[in-house]
Amino acid sequence: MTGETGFTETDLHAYADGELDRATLAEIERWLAETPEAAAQVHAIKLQKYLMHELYDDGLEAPWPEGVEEMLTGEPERNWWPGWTRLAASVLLLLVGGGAGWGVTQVGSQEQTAGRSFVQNALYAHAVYSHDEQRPVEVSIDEEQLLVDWLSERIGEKLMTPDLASNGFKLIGGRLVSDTGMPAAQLMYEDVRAKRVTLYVRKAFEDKDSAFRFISEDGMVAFYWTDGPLSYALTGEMPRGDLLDLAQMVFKDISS
Amino acid sequence: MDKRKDIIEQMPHLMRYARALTRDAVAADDLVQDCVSRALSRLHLFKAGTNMRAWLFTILHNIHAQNMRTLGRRPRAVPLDRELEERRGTGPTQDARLTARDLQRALDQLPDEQREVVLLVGLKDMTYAEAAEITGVPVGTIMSRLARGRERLRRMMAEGVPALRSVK
Repeated sequence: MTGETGFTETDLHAYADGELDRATLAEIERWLAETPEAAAQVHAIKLQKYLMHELYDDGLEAPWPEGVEEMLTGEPERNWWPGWTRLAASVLLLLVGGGAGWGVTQVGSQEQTAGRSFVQNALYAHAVYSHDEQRPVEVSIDEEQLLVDWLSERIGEKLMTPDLASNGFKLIGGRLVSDTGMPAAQLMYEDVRAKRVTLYVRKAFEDKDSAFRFISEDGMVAFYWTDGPLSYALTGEMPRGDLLDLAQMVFKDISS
Repeated sequence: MDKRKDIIEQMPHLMRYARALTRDAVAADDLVQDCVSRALSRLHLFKAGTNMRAWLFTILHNIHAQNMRTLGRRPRAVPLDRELEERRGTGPTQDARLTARDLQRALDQLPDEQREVVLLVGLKDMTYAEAAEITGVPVGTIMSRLARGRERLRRMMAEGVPALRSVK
């Protein structure tokens, strides 16, 4: 269709699919700039690709078929009983904690609003950065000391980096984010399936320790709490019980 | 073991492609399960440092093709479809959702060989060369299937897609 210019329909697809070399790329881009109908065709191809992701990207998060994890890790499937006792302990803690939390949130709607806004910002930061394939963190774990010193200085308190390795999550790094104008730190953890959880930390928004509070939104779940001078929010996309395990681990690691 | 870890890394991509290909969560699970177990039984044949994703997709593709030959048709798509629509409920705007559904219907109408290539390349998993390796056809064929498949999709989406899947 584009005979006289030297570009063919196939070139348009190759362009949209990132298959062209640098030289051809520059040439075709110049040509597209002055050939609206070809540019429209490229746009249509890109739209199809975009919609395909809309349709199917949920599949990336799909639970693995039964037995596959066992085949791949060579480990027997998780024993049910310890799992259940752990879960029961978590629920108990949540109930006890939930009661205390209820007391706190009754104190005043101002604190409630502050907590709500804090965890909302943590959820936003999780949504934006944890799905970033190019640059999920600003400073990687390779420079752990720098990461900790820098973020501690910015949030104005000593930042701890809890160890979640026994639950399969490794710290990969962190970044500084703005929590409605206040510096906050986001630490990112990743497991072998590249599933990510983030720990969001800033100066406490309330003046006393709190129990775990829970929120779930847009497929994300988060536990948040205040411990001493800092408030924490742990966010992930996983069953509530699994995230609670991690939150407890963070809590224990920080307060020990 | 390193090779197993490489497979684990590819699992999300296998799951997505299997679901897109079969449009049936149960069939997709079976497909991935068969693929992983076949891959493990042939792990010694995989050369370290080569492309694990393409290797796994080739296996998945062969099993799928074999299934199609035995079953003679694609499994019915109802369950995942419904699930997708429910999830879409809180997702993009109504318009984008409708268009995505139009694309889904249009994809259902494509001949298998075109649909596979459109999915392999379109979900950004594969280069033309990898798609050629996986489906066992030359790169030129990949390119022409891609162009024809996408043009059909575009036409169907512009002109409206017949509601019923045609019998091929």
